[in-house]
Amino acid sequence: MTIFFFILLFLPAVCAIPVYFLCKCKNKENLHALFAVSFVCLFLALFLYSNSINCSISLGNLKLNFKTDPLRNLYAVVSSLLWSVTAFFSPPYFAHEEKLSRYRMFALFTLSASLGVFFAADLLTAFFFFEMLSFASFPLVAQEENDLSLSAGKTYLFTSVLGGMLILLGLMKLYPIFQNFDLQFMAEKAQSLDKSTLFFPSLLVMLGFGAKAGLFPLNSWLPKAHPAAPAPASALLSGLLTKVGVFGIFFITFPLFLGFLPWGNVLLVLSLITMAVGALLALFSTNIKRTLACSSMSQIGFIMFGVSMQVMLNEESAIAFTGTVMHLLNHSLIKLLLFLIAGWLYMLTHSLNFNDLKGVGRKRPLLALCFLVGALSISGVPGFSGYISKTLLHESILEYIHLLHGHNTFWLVLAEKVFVVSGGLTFAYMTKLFVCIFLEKPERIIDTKPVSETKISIIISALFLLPLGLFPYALFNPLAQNALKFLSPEAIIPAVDYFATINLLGTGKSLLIGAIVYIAFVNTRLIKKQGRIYLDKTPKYIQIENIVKPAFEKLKQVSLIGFEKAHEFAEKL
Amino acid sequence: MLYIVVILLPVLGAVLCKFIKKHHRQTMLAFLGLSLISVIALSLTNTPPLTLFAVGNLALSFAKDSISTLFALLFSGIFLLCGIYANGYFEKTKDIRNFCVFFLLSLSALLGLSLANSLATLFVLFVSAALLSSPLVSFDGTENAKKASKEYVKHSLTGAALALIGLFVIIPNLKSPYFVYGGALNEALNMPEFLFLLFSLIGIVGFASKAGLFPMHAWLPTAHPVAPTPASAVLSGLITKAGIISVIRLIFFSIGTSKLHGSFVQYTLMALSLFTVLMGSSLAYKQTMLKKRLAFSSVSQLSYILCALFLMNEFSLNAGLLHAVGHALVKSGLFLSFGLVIHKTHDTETSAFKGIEKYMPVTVLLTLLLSLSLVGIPPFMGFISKWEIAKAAQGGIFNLILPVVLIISAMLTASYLFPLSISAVFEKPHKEIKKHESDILMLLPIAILAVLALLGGFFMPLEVI
Repeated sequence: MTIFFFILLFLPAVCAIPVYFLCKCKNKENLHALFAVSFVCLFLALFLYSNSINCSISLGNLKLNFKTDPLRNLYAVVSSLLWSVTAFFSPPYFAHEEKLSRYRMFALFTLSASLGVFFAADLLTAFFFFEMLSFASFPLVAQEENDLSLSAGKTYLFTSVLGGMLILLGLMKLYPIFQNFDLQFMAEKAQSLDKSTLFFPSLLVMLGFGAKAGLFPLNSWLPKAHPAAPAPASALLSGLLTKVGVFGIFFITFPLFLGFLPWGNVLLVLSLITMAVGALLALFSTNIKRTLACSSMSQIGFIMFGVSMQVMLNEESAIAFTGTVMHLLNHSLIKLLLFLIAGWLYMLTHSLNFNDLKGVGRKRPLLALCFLVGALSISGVPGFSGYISKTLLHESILEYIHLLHGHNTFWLVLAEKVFVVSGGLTFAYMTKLFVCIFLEKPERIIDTKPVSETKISIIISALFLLPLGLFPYALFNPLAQNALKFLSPEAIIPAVDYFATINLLGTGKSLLIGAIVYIAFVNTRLIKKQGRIYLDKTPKYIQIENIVKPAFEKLKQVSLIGFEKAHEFAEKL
Repeated sequence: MLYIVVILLPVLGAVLCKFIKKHHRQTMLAFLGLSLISVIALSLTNTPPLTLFAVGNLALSFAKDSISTLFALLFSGIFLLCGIYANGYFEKTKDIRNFCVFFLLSLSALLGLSLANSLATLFVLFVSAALLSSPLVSFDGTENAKKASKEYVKHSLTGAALALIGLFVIIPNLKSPYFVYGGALNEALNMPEFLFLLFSLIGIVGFASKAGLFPMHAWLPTAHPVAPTPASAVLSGLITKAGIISVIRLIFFSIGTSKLHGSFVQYTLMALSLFTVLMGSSLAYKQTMLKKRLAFSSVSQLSYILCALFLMNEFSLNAGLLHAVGHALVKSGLFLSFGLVIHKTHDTETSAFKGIEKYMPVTVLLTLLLSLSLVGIPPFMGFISKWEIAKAAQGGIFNLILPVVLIISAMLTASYLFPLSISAVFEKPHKEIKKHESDILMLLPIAILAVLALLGGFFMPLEVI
C-alpha cells in the first residue's frame, strides 16, 4: 500500500522533466502526456481512498512525514480529477501556444507539490511542499509571457514567498515550545499549554497559508493572477491551489485552537472581509475570469467562515466541519466547470471582456445548462450541490448563536447577516454573467462548434456536480462522515434535514437579496442603457492593496535612503 | 609536517607559474588540484599541532580541528573550480601569469589562516591574505581597477590595524598562545574588565571588517566588481571567510564566550551585524550593476554569519559555519554564472539577463538553483542554515528580532535575485547573440557548486564542532 502512496505522490514530479524533453523533441500533439500522468494518479487516488497510511521518507537532514485519511484522500482524488479534466481540455485551447512543454512540466510539479501538502503529517513537511508549490505554479501564471501575465506572476510569486516567510517565522517562534511539528504531537501537547502564547506565531502561520488560500489580507494577487493564467491553469489555481492554503490553515487550527475563542474571532473577521470584498469585486467586474477569480476569493471566505465556526463550536462542531469540507469539494468542482466554460468562450471570441462576450452563448442550450449547473450551485439554489454546503454553514452560525442563549450575540448576528448578503451577491454576479453570455443580443454571430475535447470536459465537469445536488443524503453524507475522521475518530455527522422549510427559507432570503441587487443595481448602474455596455466601476478602496501599496512604497523609499546614507558615511572612513 | 606541505604547495606552484611562461595555466591547475589532494590527506590523517616557534604568548603554530578542515577543504575545492573557470574565462588573454601567481598565493594564505593555531599566526596570515589578493583586484589594469585595489589594501590594513590594537591587549591576557575551544583567557586580567572588553570589541570589529561588518564594509562593493570574474568569486566567496575564521578564533577560542556573552560587546556587535544584514540586502536590491549587486549581497549574507557568531553559543557557531559553507558555494557560483552572462551580452547591468534563457538555458537554470539556495528555500542548504540560526537565537534576547531581520532580508534577497531568472526566461531578449551556450568547462564548476548547495542541504552534518 505504502508503495502505491509514494507513486501517487511522486509520479508527477518524477515525470515532469521527462515529459518536458519528450514534448520538446516530439513537438506534436503529445499533450496527452499530462493527461496520462494525471489519470494514473486519479486511478491511484481512488484505489487508495479507503486506506489510512502513516509513512515517511528521509534523505539526510530532510525528513518528510505523511499521513492519509479519508479527507486527504478525497482531496487527492479531487486534485487528480481536476488535473485530468483540465489536461484533457487543454489541447484545443493551446492550439497556437508555444511553450507547452514548460507548461506541462510545471503543471506536473504543481500536482506533486499540492499532494505533498495535502498528505503532510507535520508542519515542516507542509512548509516544504508549500514552497515547492509556490515556485512550481509561478510559470503557470506567467505562461502567456505578456505584460499582464508577467506582472500578475510577479505579484503572485512575491505574495507566495512572503506567505512562506511568514509561515517560517511562525514556525521559528513555535519551535522552542514544541520542538516537533507533528500534528498529532502538537495536538496532544497543546492541551496543557496556555493558548495565548501560541497565538501570535500561529497567526503568522495562518496568514502565510492564507496568502495561498486567498484569505484577507494577503489576497490581492488573486484577482490578478487567476485571470492572467490560461483557462485550464486558472481552474487549477482557483479550484485546487487555494485549497492547499486552506489545508494549511486546517493544520494550524485543529490541533491547537479548537475552542479558543480569540482565534475563532480573528478567523471570523478575516473570513467575513474576504467573503464580502470578493463578492463585491466580482459584482463590479467586467471580465469573466476576474469575476470567477473574485468569486473564488469570496467562497474561500465562506470556507474560512466554516472553520471559524468550528473553532467556536468545539465539541458541537461537526456541523461546521461538514459544511466546510463539503463547500471545499463543491467549490473545486464548480470552479473547474466555470473556468473551462470561460476557456471555451475565450477560444470563441479571444476576449474575456463582458462586452465582447454578449450573447455568445445564445443558441447553445447545452452550454447554458452546464453553466447553470455551476452558477446555481455556487449561488446555493436548492437542488444543486452548493445549497447543501451553504445550508450547513448557515446552520453552524445559527447553532452557535443559539448555544450562546443571546449573550453577546450582537456581532454574531451581524456576521450572519453578512453571510446572507454575500450569498445574495453571489447570486447577483452569477446572474450578471448568465444574462451577459446567454441572454444579451450578440453583436456578431459566432458559429464555431466545440471540439470533442472541449465538449466532453465541460459536460463531465457538470455531471460531477449534478448528483451531489440531487442526492445529498446518498452521496454527500458518506463523504462527510468519512472526512470527519480528520477531525476526530468518533465524530458523527449531524442529522440535518437539508430540505427543511427553515433551510429553504434561509436560502430564499439570500436569493431574493441577490435578485434585488441585480435588478436594482447591476442592471441600472453597471450597464449602460444605450447598447447594453458593461461598465467597470470598481471602487478604488475596496482593494486593500490600493491603500497598502503606496504606504509600503513610501516605507521602502525611506529605508533605502537611510541605508544609502549609512553606506556613504562608511565609504568616507 | 603535513601542514608545511599544505601551506607551501600553492606557493611552489606560484613560483613555477611565474618562471615557466609556456604552461603557466596548466601549472596553476595542477597545483590547485595537488593542493586539494594535500588538504584531503591532511583531513584524513591524525596530525598533531606543529609549533614553529613560541615566545611567551606569541607563537607561530598550526593545528587542525574540524573548523580548520572544513574551511581548508572549502577553500581548496572552490579555488580549483574557479581556476578551471578562469582558464576558459581568460581564453583570449595570453599572459595571465600574474593572475595565476597571486591566485595560488591567496590560496596559500587562506589555507594557512584556517590551520592557524594561535592569534599571532592568524594575524600574520590575515594580513598576507589581504595583501596577496590585492593584485587580483587590479588585474585588469584599468584606472578603476588600480584605484579599487588601493582602496582594498587601505581598508584591509585599517581592519588589520584595529585587530592589532585588540590583539595587543588580548594576547598578554591569555593562558596559552594556542587556541582552545571555550577560550584561553587568564582568570585575572591585567586591566579593568571594561577596558578589556572595549579592546576586544575593537579587535573583533577589525577582523570582522574583512567580513564586511558595517561600517567597515565599503571596500566590498568597490573591489569585488572590478576584479575579473574568477577573482571576484574567490574574493567574495572565500577571502571574506578569512574574516569569519578570525572572528570565530577570537571569540570562541581565545577570549571565550563566557566573558563576552551578555556584555555591551555582544550588543554592539549584534546591532552592527543586524544593521548590516538589512543594509546589504536593501542596497543590493537597489543596485542595478550585476556584480555590485552580488557584492552587497555578500555584505548582507556575511553578516548573517556574524549574527550567528555573535549569539555566542555552540548551536549558533554550528549554524554560522553551515551558513558560511553555503554562502561560499553559492556566492562563488553566482559570480561565475553572472560572469558568463555579462561576458556574452557585454552588459554589466541587470538588463543583461533579459530573455537570455533562449541562448544560455543551462546558465539560467544554474543561476536559478543558486538563487533558491541563497534565498533559503528548502531543501537547499541556505534554508537549513537560516533555520538553524533562528533556532539558535531562541531562548535569548534576540529571539524575536533575529528571525524577523532574517525574514525581511530573505524577502529582499528574493527581490534582487528572482527577477533576474524570471526576466531571463519570460522576457524577450533585446539583442541577438551570436554564440550560444558557454563552454562546458566553464559551466561544469558552476554546476558542481549548485549541486553541492543542493546536496549540502540534505547531507551536511548540523554539528561541526
